[in-house]
Amino acid sequence: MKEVIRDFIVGGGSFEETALELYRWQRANNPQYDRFCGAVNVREWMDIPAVPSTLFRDLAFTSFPVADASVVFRTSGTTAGSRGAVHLMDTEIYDLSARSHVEHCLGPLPSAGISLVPTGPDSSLGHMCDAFVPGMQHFFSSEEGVQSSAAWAALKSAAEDGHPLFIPGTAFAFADMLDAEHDPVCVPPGTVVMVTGGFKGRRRSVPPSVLYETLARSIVGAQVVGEYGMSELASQLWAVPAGAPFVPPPWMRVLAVDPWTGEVASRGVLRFYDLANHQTVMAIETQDVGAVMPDGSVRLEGRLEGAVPRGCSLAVEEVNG
Amino acid sequence: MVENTVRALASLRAMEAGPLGQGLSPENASACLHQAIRPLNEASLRAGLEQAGTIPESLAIVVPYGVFTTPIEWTALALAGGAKVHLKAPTRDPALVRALAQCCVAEGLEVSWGTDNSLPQVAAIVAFGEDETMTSIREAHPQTPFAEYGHRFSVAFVGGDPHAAARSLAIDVARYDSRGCMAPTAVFTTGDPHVLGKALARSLAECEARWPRGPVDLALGPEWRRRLGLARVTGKVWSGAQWAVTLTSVDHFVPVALPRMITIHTVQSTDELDARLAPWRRWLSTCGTDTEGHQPASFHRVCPLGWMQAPPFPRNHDGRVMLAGLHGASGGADA
Repeated sequence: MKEVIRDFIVGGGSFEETALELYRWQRANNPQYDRFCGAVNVREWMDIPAVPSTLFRDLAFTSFPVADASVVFRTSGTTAGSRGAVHLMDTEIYDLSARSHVEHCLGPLPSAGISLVPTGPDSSLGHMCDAFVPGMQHFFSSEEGVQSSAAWAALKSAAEDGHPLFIPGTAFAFADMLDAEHDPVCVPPGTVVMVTGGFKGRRRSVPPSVLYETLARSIVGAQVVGEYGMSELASQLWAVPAGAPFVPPPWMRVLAVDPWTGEVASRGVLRFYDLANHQTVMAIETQDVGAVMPDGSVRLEGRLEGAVPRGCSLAVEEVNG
Repeated sequence: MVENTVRALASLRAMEAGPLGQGLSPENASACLHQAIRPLNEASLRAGLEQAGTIPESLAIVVPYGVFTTPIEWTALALAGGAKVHLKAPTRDPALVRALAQCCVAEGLEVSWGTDNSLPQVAAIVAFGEDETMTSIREAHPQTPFAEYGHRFSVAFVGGDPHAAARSLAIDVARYDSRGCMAPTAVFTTGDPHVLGKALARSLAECEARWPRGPVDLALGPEWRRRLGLARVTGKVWSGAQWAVTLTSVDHFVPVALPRMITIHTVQSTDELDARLAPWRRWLSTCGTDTEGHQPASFHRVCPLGWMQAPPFPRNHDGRVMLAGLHGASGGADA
């Protein structure tokens, strides 16, 4: 199946046919997903049962013996007591998917960068950014947060070298960095600022448009773009410029569904059908809300209001006495 | 005042319950309303007053959204004791509070109500709801005696005949569409979970026909599907259009109820149940059980199945005598 997916990413093909082939293959090779699907009649890709992303906290959905996993990506766990885990045998298709689509959206990536995303082997975001630009300098750690002053100094120094930079960061990391005292830095043409994630689980929130404008004023000359991804998805969507709809790769389709019934809707909870997820499950239901445009791009609206958080502390907060 | 209060409650009970039910079906709202008022009569109110001791001369009750009948017994007891009552209604749906106040005023009882967060000067406050609500009330009224009732959850235990247990437990699940701290979030059993699951499915279907489920919070959909998916993969699902019974490992216990979904967990003994719930001790409310002599100490109330959502009156609520200790105390009378 891996070859089929690789061929699709490289050369294209019929999404419908490949999705149905992958669905049948995953049912045959992923016993947990097979039980999850049960007796369902799948006639087209939209019928393929989507696994709630939160179920990765309880179950390891793999199309191979889980003991053979060499990579484990964990979810952020910002709104839950436990973290989900995504097991992969390797990241070959993940890396191919990520690079193919980002270069389609942004062109060739810079070869140097300043990173404000989490590091560590269990971060899919960190893995992706390091794969894009090996050897980036990191200025974020989960223990200490953003090292803002050092990041501004490194950015200024790197900009003076004259090479374009790749600057990935989460929205809240950029907000922290912008809070620190700094002078605007002029960066070389071709520099990309990648903003990902929202402010879930954070006390503080900055409107996206304000964040993008402030970034453009502070990192002068950079192209500010948006990235949407999650540990449970091998592929990402890109918004160019940031604030525009997110564009999925040709090997991914997105549906908005009614949050309660799961029926297709003009606006609702987002389901992703990602062929690059061949090692886990192709169809993932998130708790993010948005609308799918006629061209397949996605306008993201945020988290589902009132979605039930899990884990001790937050779960109990939801119990109305 | 006791007689006036009883007459006011009779007027409320005679009203059409559907519009008061905060989204419950009319049939279910009616059953819940009758169930809530039934224990309130002259004798029980006098008994409640005796237990409570001196009632504050004025009382504000902060009413949460969800279990629409919550303020009835508290208001009745306070009024029967001669207090003036102010009801802070849930902004989202104040219909029951409005109706309750109207019925009381018609009987000459002193009741006011509103949805404004600012409370009038009162001798004591009783509040239900979120932590933030409690904090803001405490900060705004630091000197006022204050009884707060926050987050709790309840569970059921079945050790005997699963068929009899299912008939009763289904009523606990159906009432209030599983909202509130007395709704069973899960049922633990030492018996055959598959027999219990089938029996519960049959009983929940019967409940659905008699007391249909009302509209649900759309945002619960992904969690509903997560629990169904988890049970399909690791256990068993029995479901209808408006209800579900799931069977999963006790390791997957979640202390949050979903509307008309009940999850079965198998335990070896009541001792294991107690041990499993030990980390949740401070949030436990009610244990419905079919097992004679089963008295898990961690719960404030242990009752037969079928009575989880129908507490007696008067009673201790979360371990405290209703309205006791609020007269003449100063700030923070919470347990």
